[in-house]
Amino acid sequence: MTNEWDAQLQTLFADSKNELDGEGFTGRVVAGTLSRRNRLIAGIAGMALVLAICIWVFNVPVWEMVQQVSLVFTISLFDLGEGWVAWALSPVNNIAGVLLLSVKAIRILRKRALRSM
Amino acid sequence: MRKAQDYYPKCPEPIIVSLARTGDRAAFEELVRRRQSSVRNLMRRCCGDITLADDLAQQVFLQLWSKIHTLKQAGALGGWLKRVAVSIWLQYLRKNDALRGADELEEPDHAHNETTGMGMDLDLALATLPNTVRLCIVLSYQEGMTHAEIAEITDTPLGTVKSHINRGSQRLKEILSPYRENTAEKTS
Repeated sequence: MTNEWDAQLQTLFADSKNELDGEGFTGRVVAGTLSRRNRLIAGIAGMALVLAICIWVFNVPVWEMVQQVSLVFTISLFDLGEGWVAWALSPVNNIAGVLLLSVKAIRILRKRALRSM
Repeated sequence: MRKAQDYYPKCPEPIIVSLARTGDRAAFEELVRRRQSSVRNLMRRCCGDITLADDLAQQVFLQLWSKIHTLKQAGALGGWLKRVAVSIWLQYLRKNDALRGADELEEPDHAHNETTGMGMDLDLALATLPNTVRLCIVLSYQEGMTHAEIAEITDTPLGTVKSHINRGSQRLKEILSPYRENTAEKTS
């Protein structure tokens, strides 16, 4: 089947097209880009402030904290020995891998559920 | 002395797009000025509500501003905007309109105070179509897209798009028959 357009409907759509005056709209969009930039700057500044407060309150060097967290994330879930199976499964045989796969699976399921609605 | 921005209204669009990609806000403003009418009209036809349509169109342009660096070909802006507009409309439907029946015919929404005459009647007729059918009809008749393009942009099977367009066209023909008779007289 080819793309068929009803000629009269096409005429109706063409006749009802109107050019909209865009000065007010354009102003709102430009203002929106500025406020978005300001929000981004405020967000980054806020994060930096929270981080600074955390470092000050807990008195823990950031690098040490990152090392601790990454150590926890890379702990092996199952002891698979030293063979090639352990090597092949190493990207998913840890907490970080499982978390990543879970998030991905949840996102896919959510997308499917929304599409089926 | 005239500023460079004063010449933007006369510049070809690919140049304006390239300037906007470098972060030139005045170039971006010029792009919005040029493209706002088509995006807002598309949104108005899709949702039938002027205020909501303008809010969604604003989101389209904000997305353009934040992602303009990903636009590889400056000449592809029209298609890119259409794609983003459809995606934003579908996202809106999924979030806010998920409980609405996809197959039932709706009562017309009378919030069309800016359009008059034929445009208003067309909007009212479109409002009676289910959202998915209306989107396919608008993309086909207003934007002149082929069925395959609509299937791709809406992520819908081609057969479904064809059936939506057939169904929607029939429905519009029934509702708009007085205008159709007028246009038939005009063309004959």
